[in-house]
Amino acid sequence: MIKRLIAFRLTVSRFIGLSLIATACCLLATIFSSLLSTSVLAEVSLAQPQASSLRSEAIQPIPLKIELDNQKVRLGKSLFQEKQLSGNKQISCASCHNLSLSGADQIPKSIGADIGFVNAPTVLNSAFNIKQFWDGRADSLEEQIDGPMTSSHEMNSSWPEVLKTLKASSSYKADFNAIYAEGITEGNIKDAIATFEKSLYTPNSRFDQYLRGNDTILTEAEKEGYQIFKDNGCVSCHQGVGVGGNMFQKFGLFGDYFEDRGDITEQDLGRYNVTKQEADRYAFKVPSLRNVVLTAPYFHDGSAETLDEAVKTMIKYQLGRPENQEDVDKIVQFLNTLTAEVAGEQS
Amino acid sequence: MIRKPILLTAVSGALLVLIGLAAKGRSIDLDSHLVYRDQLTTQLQHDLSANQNILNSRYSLFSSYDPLIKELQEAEAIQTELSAVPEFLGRQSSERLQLQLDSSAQKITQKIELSEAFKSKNSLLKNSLSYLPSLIDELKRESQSGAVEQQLGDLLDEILLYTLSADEALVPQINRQIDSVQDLIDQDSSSQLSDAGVALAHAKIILENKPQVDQLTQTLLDLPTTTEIRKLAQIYEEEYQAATGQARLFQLGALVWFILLLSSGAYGFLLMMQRRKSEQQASALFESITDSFVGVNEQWEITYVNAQAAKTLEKQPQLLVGKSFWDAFPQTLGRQAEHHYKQAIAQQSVVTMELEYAAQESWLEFHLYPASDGISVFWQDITARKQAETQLEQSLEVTQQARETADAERLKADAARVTADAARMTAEEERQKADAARITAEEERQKADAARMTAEEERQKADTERLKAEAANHAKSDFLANMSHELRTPLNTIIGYSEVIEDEANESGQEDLIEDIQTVRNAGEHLLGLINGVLDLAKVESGKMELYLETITLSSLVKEIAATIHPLVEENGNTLAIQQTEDIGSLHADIVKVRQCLLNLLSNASKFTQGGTITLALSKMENPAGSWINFHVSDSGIGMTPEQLDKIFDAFTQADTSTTRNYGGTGLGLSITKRFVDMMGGKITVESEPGEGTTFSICLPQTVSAATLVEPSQDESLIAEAVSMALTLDKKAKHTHQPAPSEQQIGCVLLIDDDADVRELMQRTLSRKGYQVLVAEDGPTGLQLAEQHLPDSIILDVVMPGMDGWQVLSQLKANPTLKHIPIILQTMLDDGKRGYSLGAAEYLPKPIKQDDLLAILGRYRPNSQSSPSVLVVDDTPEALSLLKRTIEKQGWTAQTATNGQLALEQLQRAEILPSLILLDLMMPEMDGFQLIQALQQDAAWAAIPIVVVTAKDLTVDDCQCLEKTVLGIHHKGSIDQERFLAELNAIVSPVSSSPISQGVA
Repeated sequence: MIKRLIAFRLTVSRFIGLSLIATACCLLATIFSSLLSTSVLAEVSLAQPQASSLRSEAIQPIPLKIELDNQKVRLGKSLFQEKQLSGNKQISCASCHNLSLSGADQIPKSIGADIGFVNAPTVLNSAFNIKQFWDGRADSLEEQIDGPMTSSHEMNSSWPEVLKTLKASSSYKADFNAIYAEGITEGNIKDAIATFEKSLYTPNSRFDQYLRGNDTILTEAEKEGYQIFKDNGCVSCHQGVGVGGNMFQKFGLFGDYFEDRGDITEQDLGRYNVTKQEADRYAFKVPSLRNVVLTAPYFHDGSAETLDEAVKTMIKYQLGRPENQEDVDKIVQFLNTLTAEVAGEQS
Repeated sequence: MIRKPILLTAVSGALLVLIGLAAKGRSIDLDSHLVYRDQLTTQLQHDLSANQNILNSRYSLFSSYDPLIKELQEAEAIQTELSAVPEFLGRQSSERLQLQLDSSAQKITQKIELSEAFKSKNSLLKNSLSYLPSLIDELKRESQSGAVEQQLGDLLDEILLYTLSADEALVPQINRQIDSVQDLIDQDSSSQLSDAGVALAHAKIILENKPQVDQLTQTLLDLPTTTEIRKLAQIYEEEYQAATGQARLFQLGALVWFILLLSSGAYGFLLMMQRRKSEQQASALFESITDSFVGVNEQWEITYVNAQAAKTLEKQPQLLVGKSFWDAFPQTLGRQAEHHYKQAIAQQSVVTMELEYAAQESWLEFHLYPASDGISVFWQDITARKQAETQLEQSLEVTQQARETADAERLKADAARVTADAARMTAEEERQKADAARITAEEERQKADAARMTAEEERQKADTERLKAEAANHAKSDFLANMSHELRTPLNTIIGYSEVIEDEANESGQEDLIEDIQTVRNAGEHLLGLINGVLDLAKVESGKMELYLETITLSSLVKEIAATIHPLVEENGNTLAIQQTEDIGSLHADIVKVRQCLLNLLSNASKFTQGGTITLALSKMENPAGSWINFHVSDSGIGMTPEQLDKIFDAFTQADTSTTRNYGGTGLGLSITKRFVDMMGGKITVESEPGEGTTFSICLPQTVSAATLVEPSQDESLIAEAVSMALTLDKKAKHTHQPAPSEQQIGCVLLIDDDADVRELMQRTLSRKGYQVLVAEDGPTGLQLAEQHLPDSIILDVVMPGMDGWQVLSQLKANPTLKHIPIILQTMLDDGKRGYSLGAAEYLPKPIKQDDLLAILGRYRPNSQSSPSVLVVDDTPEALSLLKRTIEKQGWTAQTATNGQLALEQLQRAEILPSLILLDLMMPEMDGFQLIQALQQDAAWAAIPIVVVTAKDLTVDDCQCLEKTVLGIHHKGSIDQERFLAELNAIVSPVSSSPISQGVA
């Protein structure tokens, strides 16, 4: 009995000893780890702001390659051309943004389910726009899709209907499931279409090559045209990668364009419809001039049938300068250098 | 078993706590923290770059707005990401951070909106500023002298100055100049002046937009986005530090907890290993014992079956373990004796029972030991003993008949003596006639006187010898009485230390130890009670017991006794009733003994009564002899039969031998009670009906006198009775055998003993009882005398020099003319167990002490020079090889056999019989008892001395099997097995290291 008691006490004391050693180890480990973590944190602090990139010209070249998910691009392309998405199963995105017609439709006001209110802007290079639509009511390409999809004048459909249609298709189901864990959803449809639209950039125009340093790619007249474009102040609004598309400007700074044109519609109020601020009345997103020679007619109302006419309107109402046919011709020649092919699918 | 789920719950609970602590401790995700910090930094960079771009756009001529837009978009995007606050921050921290996030988001949105206006206005301003100088230049070139052109030139200068100086004081002057130019244009409407109008328009645009753009630029740069972002970073840093501190606490907690868990795990593992080891030892022990053993848990599931049990039940242990005891165990042994098992558990006491196992035509003796987690069932085959008992009963019947016959004969003899008396009367008359002749014979009488003198001398001599014998007897009793101190001293130590250890175990929470210690203490107390009883008895018998007379009020005595006995009465659910007449007065007696007597009776009553009433009644009685006090102790218990009542006051006797097993006790209580009552001049009587209850009555004189009555020692009469019984039996058996050596003597007894004192004492005692006594001081003489006189009985001492009792016994048995003579072993009066076992053999207890073995070997070593051989019979291989080695070291040759059957076969084959057989008793196939029986069938084999080597504690029954001629039956308690079980328990309990292996070889 005594022996057993002694054995028990021995075990207990051994246990206590073990625990003490272990506790000591644990304390050391904790102190060490806390030192370590503090030193890691000390390295992280707010860095000083870095200098911005240097500017050479107000117009910048389109990147030669933009990385995108090809699967999404392909799916987006199918959806872009899918007439089943519309209410009457006859209209697709491509109906008004015909890729073979430089992403627009070459008519003053687009015809969807009904005749539209404004001229369809090109879908090419639309990713470079700060906002979408003439009045900039959509912040992103994704958001923009809602407009034509549900407008009674355009595709005249609704998201539940679109989802139903797509889910009935086994091939779409398979395509979506291959890319998205959630399969067919409104968000994923928008993502796919927007990704496809982002792939519609047109790099390596002759002017971009010039910007990258190729002096011989432009004719003297074209170079002159660019100089006039700058001298006449066009470049104050049409600048950046998109040669436009990155600001809003009032239409009719010198003279009243709308009074001169007449027949003012609600669409003519422009950005005012979005912000309801007096300063934004008649203000529109400055359109991109990339491929501009291919996207006639011009302006939100499609009123200018030719580029010549459009340039003249701009000189008159926006720049407040006297018209000079020679300059206009040269400007148009310069504008021709902004044309390029869509980059196409990435490999 | 029941602790298992609790243990599991505890372990999983502890693990959950550990996981919880660890999760809390690890909740600081350093990655997400770094990402967040990085985002804050990046956002700040974007904001600062945006400001730089605004300044660029404002003060360079034409530039791209793309970088500005990009910086602001990035800042806005990061703002969205920042609103996903890291999860490790607490709710309050998140809310505080979110508040700041909302504030900075608002500022960024404001900045973006303002930048839109800035871009439009700035572009417009730039266009006019770039165009106006060239336009005015052109106009001046075309018309050098024009007043308008001149004024326009001045205007341009003012405007350029204004744009550079931002001096608002110039604005009114510029406006005046514009107005004057406008006037000039209005006066002269030539086409030339339309260009001047355009210049004015541009000038107006510059005047209008310049302050606006400046204002916008200032507002944009003043917007506290940078401050907001820095503030956000600071708040985040604070909250992060707080969260880290908390997490570190949890980490520490988790670490400490983990170490604790690990330590307890290791400790538990060690305990488990130790326990497993103990269990292995225990199961090895279970397998080595020769008793059958079955362990049953609280749910009545069989947990263990040892090999012996499996053999008895004829089932594989695997088929029994885990099964319900009631279903798997044979119904006759289990289900039908269910109440015994339940009783053992309910009373937490050992229950012993004997059951017939019809399936094997055998009798089994069961010992049921309640354990802490169920019940341990031991049993052994007692078929042989049962048969012996039956035979004994038959022989006792025969004896009884013989005694009755003898009584009838004696009556006849009495009648004959009356006739003889009459004849003697007639002879008296004739003697008077012969008086004359007596005078003549006077001379002859004088001669006879001389002869009588000689006889007188002889008588005195005899008296001296008698006194000597009485003194020897007293010495024995004195020895017993003096033993009290020697025996109680170590017991007190045992009991005292048991209590000390029990207290310590209680304090240290060693529950399992307590039970063991209590077992030790209970055993010690039981032994103490037994010793006290024996010593009391011995004292009374030796006349050493004295009375200490004092006076006590009876009512207070009763009160005190009631208080003492109360717990015991309640133990079996009984109630105690006291009946006493008012004013019964006091008692003058030995109060200690009275109290002991009453407590004895009351405790008996409580023990044999379940859920009944125990009554203690007092009454007073007057008769010519004086005043008497009557104590009646009645119960409503099991009662007794008339046969049991007859023996109730004998020492070591209870109503039934099975009573002791069932109810415990020494069997001395009533005996002592009776002696005490007798000493005080009182009387004890008992009335009982089986099943109705028992009433003991003690009648004591109210005033006990100091005169004591001491019963004479009964040893002598016991011997005489045994001899008489043997003779009667013998006469009945051989009837017309040899006539008695002398007609006057009732029998002839041969006494063989080397102790002269014993010889003389026995001779005197037996002679006085009318026996003819033949005396031999050693074996050979005894054998010679036996052959010559063919005595009716032989009293044989076992331990003698030269030829010992065993050899004498075997030679007597080997002789056909002598083998029917009943033999009484003298040593049985001194050492019962040893005496009985020597009826057949010597025995050595295991573990064997080498010296003992060598001594025995030496004793049996034949005188011849040839190498003596020994046959060793044992079923345990280890024991076998150990014995063999020891024997061979002594120059003997050893043969071995693993059971009785094989031993017999060896003997049949052997050319030279072994000089000695070393025999284990408990063996498979044919055990030691059966082998001895078989050996007795062959004269040659019967002569081989046998030494029993056994771990088994020999019981009287065993000894009876060893030698049928030994008379007398003693009950033997199961104390040895209890001790065994206690040791077993000690092994099974954890943290045990008691060297149990010594106990059983």
